[in-house]
Amino acid sequence: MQYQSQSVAKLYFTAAIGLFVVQVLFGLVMGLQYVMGDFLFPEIPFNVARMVHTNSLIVWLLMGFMGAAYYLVPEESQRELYSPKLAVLMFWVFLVAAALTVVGYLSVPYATLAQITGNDLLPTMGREFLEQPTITKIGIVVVALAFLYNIGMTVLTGRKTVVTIVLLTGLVGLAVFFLFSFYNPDNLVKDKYYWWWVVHLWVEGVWELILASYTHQL
Amino acid sequence: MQEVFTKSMARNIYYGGSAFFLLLFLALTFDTHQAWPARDNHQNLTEQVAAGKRLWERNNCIGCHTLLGEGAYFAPELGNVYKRFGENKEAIKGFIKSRPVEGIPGRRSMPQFNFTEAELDEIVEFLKYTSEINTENWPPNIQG
Repeated sequence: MQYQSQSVAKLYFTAAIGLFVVQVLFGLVMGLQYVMGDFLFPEIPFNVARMVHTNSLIVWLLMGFMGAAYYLVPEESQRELYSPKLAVLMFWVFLVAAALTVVGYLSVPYATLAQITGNDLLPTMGREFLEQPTITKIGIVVVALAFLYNIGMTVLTGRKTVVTIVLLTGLVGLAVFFLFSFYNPDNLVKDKYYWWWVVHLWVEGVWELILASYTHQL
Repeated sequence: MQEVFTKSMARNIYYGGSAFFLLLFLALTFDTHQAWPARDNHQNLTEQVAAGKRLWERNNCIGCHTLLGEGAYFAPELGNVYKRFGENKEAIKGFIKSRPVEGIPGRRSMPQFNFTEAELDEIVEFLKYTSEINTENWPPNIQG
């Protein structure tokens, strides 16, 4: 480790591993529910286990590559992170939001969670992989923008390389495409079309671009 | 012909290629928008259907079921359930209402949601509207 600010990555990696364990545990619950249909019913119905499983997957992947960016961008840009404090703050915002969301999934019926988080004001919940309450989604936007800003400022004021430029394109896509999760029209066909923009353009378009830049750095 | 693949060539391919495919994607999106009115059954999208969609989302139905092929694959496809139940609205409502609170020993069961009669009508209207979307016959069989 050449730069001190690279150490913020440790927080992200630790949480990513923790969330991965959560993902695996709830995956096992779901696997059992396939074999024993009434396992944990009605306390943890399949849809609840599945939300915890897939959402923790999404968050650990995000945390994993955020941590990776904080680790490798200083070396690539040959300077300290623009703001290690912001990176640490955003880590805690993200972790607390994720934890509260999971507690919400497990402790109250989903419809109650929708009600107490004000889903009626801006309905975004109840679509595959986008089950998070609207307020959690806003949190994800804040974290993604702060991440983009922090990495962007580090990259643009440091040494620019192929890796950091590809990474920045990916990060802009990360922030932009998630915004479509707030568009939930009554028309099911339109809803599913733009749902696809988040789910598939994120994973197959944007995330893979980000990860490709990391691979190149190695 | 140039023998060496230079950095600026790589950069041009990256930026040019990205811009090209982004524009192509937007053009395809535009084309998709043009194709919707004839296929998306919007003429039957009533207030009741919209309310049914919200109810569908509020209860995370997609967490077990699939709808037009996308979803969780734990419980039956519901994009064509209206047709599967012989276009019988009461049959669908009856099924939802009859789910035992404590489930069925050893088997999968849908939770009991305690919907009101008005909510049941909303969800049924939503499923009817969904079944009339032109999906090029997806799913390919009535079982889903």
